Amino acid sequence: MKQNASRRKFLRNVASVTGAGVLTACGITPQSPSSTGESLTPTRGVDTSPAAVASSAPAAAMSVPAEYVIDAPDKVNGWRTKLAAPPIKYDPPIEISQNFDLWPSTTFKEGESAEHNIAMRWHEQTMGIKFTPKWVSEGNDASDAKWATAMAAGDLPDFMMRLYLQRIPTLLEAGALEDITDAFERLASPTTKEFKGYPDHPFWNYVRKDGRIYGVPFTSGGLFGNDYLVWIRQDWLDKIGAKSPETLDDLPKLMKAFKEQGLGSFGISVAQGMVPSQGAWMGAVDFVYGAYGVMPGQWRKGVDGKLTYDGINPKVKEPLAVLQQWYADGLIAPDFISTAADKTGDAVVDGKCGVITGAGWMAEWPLADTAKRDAAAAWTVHRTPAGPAGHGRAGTRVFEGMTALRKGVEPNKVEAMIQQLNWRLEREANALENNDYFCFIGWTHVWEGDTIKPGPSPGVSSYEPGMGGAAGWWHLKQEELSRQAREKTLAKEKNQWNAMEQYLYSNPIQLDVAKAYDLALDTKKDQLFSAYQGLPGPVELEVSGALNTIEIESYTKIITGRAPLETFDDFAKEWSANGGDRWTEEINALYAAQQ
Amino acid sequence: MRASKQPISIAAGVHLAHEAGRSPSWRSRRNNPLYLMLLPALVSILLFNILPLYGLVIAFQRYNPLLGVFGSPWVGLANFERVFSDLTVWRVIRNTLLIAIGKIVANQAIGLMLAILLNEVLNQFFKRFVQSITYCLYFLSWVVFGGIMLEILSLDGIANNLLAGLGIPRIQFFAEPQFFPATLILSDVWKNMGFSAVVYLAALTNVDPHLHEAAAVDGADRVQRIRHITLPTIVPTMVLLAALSLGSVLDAGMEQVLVLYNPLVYQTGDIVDTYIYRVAFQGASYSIGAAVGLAKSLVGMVLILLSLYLARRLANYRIL
Repeated sequence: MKQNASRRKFLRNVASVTGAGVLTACGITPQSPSSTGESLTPTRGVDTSPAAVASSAPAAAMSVPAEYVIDAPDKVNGWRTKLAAPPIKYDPPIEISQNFDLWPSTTFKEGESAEHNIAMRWHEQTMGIKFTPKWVSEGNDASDAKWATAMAAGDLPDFMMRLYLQRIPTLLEAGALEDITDAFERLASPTTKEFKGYPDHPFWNYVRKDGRIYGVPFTSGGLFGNDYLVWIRQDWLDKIGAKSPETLDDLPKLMKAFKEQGLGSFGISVAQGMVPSQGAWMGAVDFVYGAYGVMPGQWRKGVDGKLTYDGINPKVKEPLAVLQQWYADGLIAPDFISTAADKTGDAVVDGKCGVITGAGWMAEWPLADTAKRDAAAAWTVHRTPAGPAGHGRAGTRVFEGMTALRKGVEPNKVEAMIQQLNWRLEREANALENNDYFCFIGWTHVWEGDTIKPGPSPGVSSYEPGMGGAAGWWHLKQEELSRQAREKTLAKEKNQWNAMEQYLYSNPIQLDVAKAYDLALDTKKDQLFSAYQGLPGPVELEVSGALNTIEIESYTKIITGRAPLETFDDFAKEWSANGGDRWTEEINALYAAQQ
Repeated sequence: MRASKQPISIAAGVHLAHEAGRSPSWRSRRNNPLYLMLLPALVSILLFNILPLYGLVIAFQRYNPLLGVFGSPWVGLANFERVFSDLTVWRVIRNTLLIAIGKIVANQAIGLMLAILLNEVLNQFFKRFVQSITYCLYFLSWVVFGGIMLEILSLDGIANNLLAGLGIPRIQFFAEPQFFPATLILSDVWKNMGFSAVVYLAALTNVDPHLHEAAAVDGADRVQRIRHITLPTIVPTMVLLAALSLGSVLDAGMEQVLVLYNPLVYQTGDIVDTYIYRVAFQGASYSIGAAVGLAKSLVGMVLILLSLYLARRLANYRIL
């Protein structure tokens, strides 16, 4: 007994010590050192009327403490930033609470975190806005849990960063968002209105209810982030001496030629969802439908002005026949039905095929990985081939989410957020025009000798607080102005580039990505959009699930040859009879209300 | 005072003598410390299982977390109507039942066979070795194991290579609706048979070795001994396990199906949970989820009561 007692005691002690150790380790994150920079003396906040803000932008430069500037005269082609003064400074500082929902493994510099970092200090010192975290969460599940608790307790943050489509109807229905129509009209600068496409761009429809605006929408892929172009292996093209496929008939001929020459075992890598609206963000075949002027998943306006669902349009039978033929000829991998979008890249990396569709960023991943297997691998991006209706592809839905303020928040906080957005977009405009960027040296970027390299704190730029951070970092003029800036740089001699230009444009893969987006920009008339863009109504929520299910089932069966083409008509009838007609009515009503 | 002269054991005698001098309420009070120890568990069940039941009302509302249970609008049976008038819902329910029942039956049967076979193995090392190997698959998540299955059963995977070697044409296991439920059930059995076997092995230790010896002396061979001694002994355990799993017959294994299914097999592979997951209704998910959960619980309750009745009748196993 005595032996047992002492053994138990030993185990208990070990357990308690371990427990205590674990608690201390996970407990307090170290506070960042208190800001040591000298107090700022920006030129006094100018008066907030839109005209005054716009005109003051280029003139009043501000002196910014050393830690925030990439001024480095001792570096070869070092680079100085010029910053417009913030439109307003709050003295004493105002506190705005915000949620921080981070992606997992977001990194910050040693000793810093999402809520204590240089971007926070910067806002406090320049605009007098102190962002306090309502909560910090990492990953989707944690974020959902925090939102659920906050909503249940009715305790929302003052400013809500990044509300996605799942959450918006709940908040709008409960009247939990502040109406900012008047404030935005009055305070948003002309730059802001232009760069955010206010009020005409369709993505404002998602934040509008009964004619009033409840937040500012944001995009994170820009105008073409989800426009899928055709990537083809250039070295294979060179080997068989073929050129870029112009028409939809050229593409299967090309793929067959690849197969005959032993290049790859099938033609094109396709994802199980097949079109972007069914979840294929890589390996989509929307261009085949687009070549016939239809796009399943979208609503098309007919000559009579009525919207109909393109998924049941009889014209879809033609592209379906094309795809059916491709599958029968072995140009589409038989196991495409088990391949989710993210796995479509594996086939091209393994050298099994030479054609895949996707956005510009693919030049980096996964296509750059093919060079690891086959050093000669090179990829080029091509316009989607033309069919009887010309070129067509699914256009990017620019709306990604919205930023909003909670109902009942103090008016000066609404003002502060809009002004912050103004200032941020002003800086963006300036950067793109003069290749004059602003970043936190030592945080997002560091000097390594004479070159700029990514820094230890990428989280600082991804999670810059406030409306300027969430809705200001990518705007509707991004692609156009980026291209102008890039062309200006590329026109100069390389030894005349400043350090930031070296950083942005030296990497050939980045230039490939840029070329792809340029092609998307040049061919933007190929984009097909849904005529109705806005929040879903109750009928859609009720029936869209089942209808999308039978749609993808029917299409997949036809393409894989398990059902004849005629079954499409049966599907169309089933679709209409089981809620499709009601859904169509609802969409037409919502569309009419938007006009 | 004992009328008949039956021998009583010494321990029982001491026990009785101990009680002889006590008051009648002593017996019930004697158990008080035991009831006290039960109290925390009871409180926990009350707080976390019984009290939150009021939240089920959100199945009859259009629940908005900001308005709360008392502020959300009432919609009566609209949520249930919406779920049950859905185009594919009966197909989905049928699939769920078929797959779940198939899994229960297959898991029990194959787990039992494995346990009986292992029980007869004399070499302890080999027995433990096999047990460990079959058991460790249970701990893999379906995300990993599903990926493995997709590889093995792909068109140029091991299984199809085997078939091709035997001269049978290759089968697309994940594209044919008729094969899909079997694929689901068999891969689930492969993953879980170690676990079921362990449970049965534990039950098998109850088999009285004297009976086996007596039967061996009487000339029964191995198979006859298994049939007449081992099996009847564990019938109660079997019935109990089957009965207990009946309550979860509407949980057909969402994670597995989600990883392995695709549009071509929705017909036979779409189950209630994956269907709800896929059509994640924006903004109304709480109420729909609660309605589906309530419907599943009601069915589950009927089935559990049925299974307890069956357990009592068939195996004389009494819980209530």
